[in-house]
Amino acid sequence: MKPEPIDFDAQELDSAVAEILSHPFDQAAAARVQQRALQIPLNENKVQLAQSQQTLSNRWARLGSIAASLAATILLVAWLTSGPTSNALAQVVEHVMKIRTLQFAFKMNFSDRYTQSGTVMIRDEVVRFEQSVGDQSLVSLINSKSREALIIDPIRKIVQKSDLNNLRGVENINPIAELIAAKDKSVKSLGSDRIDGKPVSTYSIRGLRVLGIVGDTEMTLWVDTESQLPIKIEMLDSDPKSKTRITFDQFQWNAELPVERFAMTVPDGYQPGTVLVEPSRQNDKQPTTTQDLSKGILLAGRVPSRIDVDQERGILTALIRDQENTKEHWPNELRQWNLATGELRWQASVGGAGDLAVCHAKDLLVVVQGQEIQLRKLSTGETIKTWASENLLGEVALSEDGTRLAHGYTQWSRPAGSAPTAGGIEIWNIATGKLEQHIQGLDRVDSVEFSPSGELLLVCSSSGTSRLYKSSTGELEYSFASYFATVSPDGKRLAMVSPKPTINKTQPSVDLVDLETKVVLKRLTTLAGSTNSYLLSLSFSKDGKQLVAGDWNGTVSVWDTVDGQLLPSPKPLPAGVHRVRFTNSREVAIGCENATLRLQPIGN
Amino acid sequence: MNTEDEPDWGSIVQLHSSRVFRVSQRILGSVQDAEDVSQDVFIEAYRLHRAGPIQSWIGLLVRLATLRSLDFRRRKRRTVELNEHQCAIDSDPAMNLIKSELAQRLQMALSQLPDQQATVFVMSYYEQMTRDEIADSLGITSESVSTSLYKARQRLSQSLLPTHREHR
Repeated sequence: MKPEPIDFDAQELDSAVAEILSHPFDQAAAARVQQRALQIPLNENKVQLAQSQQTLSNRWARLGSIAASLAATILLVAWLTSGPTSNALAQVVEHVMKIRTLQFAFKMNFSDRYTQSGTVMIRDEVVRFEQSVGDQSLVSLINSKSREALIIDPIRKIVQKSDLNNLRGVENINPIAELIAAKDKSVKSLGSDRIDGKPVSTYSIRGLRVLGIVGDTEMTLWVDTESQLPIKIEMLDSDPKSKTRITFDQFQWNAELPVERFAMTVPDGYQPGTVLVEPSRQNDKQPTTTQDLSKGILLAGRVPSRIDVDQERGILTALIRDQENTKEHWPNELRQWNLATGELRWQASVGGAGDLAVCHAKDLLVVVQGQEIQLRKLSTGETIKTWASENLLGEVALSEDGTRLAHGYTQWSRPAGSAPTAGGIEIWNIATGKLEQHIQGLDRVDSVEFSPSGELLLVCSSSGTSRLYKSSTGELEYSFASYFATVSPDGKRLAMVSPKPTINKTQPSVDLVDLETKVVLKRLTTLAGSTNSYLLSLSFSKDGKQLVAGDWNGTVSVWDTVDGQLLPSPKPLPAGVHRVRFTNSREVAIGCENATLRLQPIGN
Repeated sequence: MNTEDEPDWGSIVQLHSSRVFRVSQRILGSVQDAEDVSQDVFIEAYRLHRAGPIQSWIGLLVRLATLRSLDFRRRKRRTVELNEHQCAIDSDPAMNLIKSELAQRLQMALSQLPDQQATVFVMSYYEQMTRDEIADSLGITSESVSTSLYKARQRLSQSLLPTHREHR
């Protein structure tokens, strides 16, 4: 469930915005801006060496770590093959432009923090990039003409198709400033040298501001005096603190490169999925988390965005991530604790996983990560199997008998309404790994949940409509106006955020509805928050006699569902509550955006 | 560099120049400054346009307009603070003056926000873009948009409170 913007009680802010929006729009000035902008190309028609670098360094910003390395390679090749650079290098460029295939090795050291190395092969417009990962190679194929990319993970037999432009992830690299600062580059001859006994001419190009490197980048080029082709190239960040160095060597010009290696097709035995490989970070500290059970804090330091409690076994499993405003994001993790002792039972890195679901009876846990579904053992975290959907997955649910899995997906709208937001649900048979149902034509999907019998599937959407489907046929059973709901353990009641307007936006109601008659049995009012409400979590106790709600405004409300009374509830938290689950009838676990997972007593 | 899918520069300018200028003007409160910043934004955008296809022109241009306007405002901060002080002394308790000062304070407070929060706030409030449109334009998740907006509003509300109360 994604939080919506919450209206603060901030009249001043609204007044200030209204005042700013009321200022007249100066049409004449806007016309002048347009006129000047249209003339920019006329003033920017200088042909510089920097152009090809701009192209590629811009791409660099969009690419993930794998493709980013590749971009550096393309940069090199483009630079080598781009139009007139300088008289000193004209002959080298002339030779390079006659080359049909090329293979070379690369090694990139980034600030002593991590290293990437591998081999690059180029044939026509396709670049094959092999990045060493342990004793295997992660392969990326990129067709620079069609801009298609294929990333192949030989370890897990996964293939990810992509558009070159859609590969991104180096959020912290901002080449824009470097692009603006790009100036004419001068090539300097450094004289003669020898590499591996071969006489070479050495050149230096300074002032390159590429690859997101802070400070000027210097490229040094060693050219074989006999063949007039480069045999080594080094790019070095001139900032001594950065210690960033990229080396290209072992060049094989016009190498014998079989065409099959450049085929942009899915190899036999591979399945579509999301390839996730992080460069190894040697000296970085892992995010620090702490625990203080005396204060009921099971975890502090990362955000527990999803929680599951197995009351029978006394274990709590959480999906944790960094806070949104953290500069550097680490892979999300699954962690499981013993509730009685606070002892960490296991933990596993799950990259960008967004949701988890469990089946206690069958000891199963599912996480979705990109397009991939990972089925694990709940008790150990060990991966049992993985498979992939064609859609980018969102929320996930497991049936109570552990035979089926449902997940939602949302395809986000495009600007200017060219394509509206659309969503759907896929239901998979876990044993066979086959898709059983595909419900399409929904709007965004924010939560999915099987009813206890598995007969129904509850699908909620923050667009304001939730629906119950027959899970076996995908037939719509019941649709109701609410952005979030949950089914009681006996399968007879529905707790849903009330669609009725409330007097105070900080204090919404939750309706208990009889699923058979659709009659509202009880209307439960939440604790008042200091800001407007957005309920992200509703959960019944195991016996169905209590209900707990967690709100993005920081409140946690607990009710007795028999008499509808609000029970003594935990103190409001300073940030949004993602999930609340009962650990027993007198305690709840609360996952909060302030990076805490708390165990809080409830009731008298 | 143009590709088949990439619009030509003229279309980009005609489609988005008003928006760029409007965003800058709302952040800076000055037509002259907004013109200067808009010009810089388009120069920067043109270089990116030549460098390769842009995923979302709205996202890029609003982001650039927001950040460059805030940079401009930060550079002029000393002057603005002096003006603001002057305004506080001379201000009339009439509501229009209070609103005017609030607007100035909001423009100041905006420049104190982290880039993403400021951009999301501008897109949402000044450009009336939906959460999904913002997420799509900036290439971030909707949840991230919500969080940024939540924090931006919280900080901006806090920044605006004290001055307003002085006038009550």
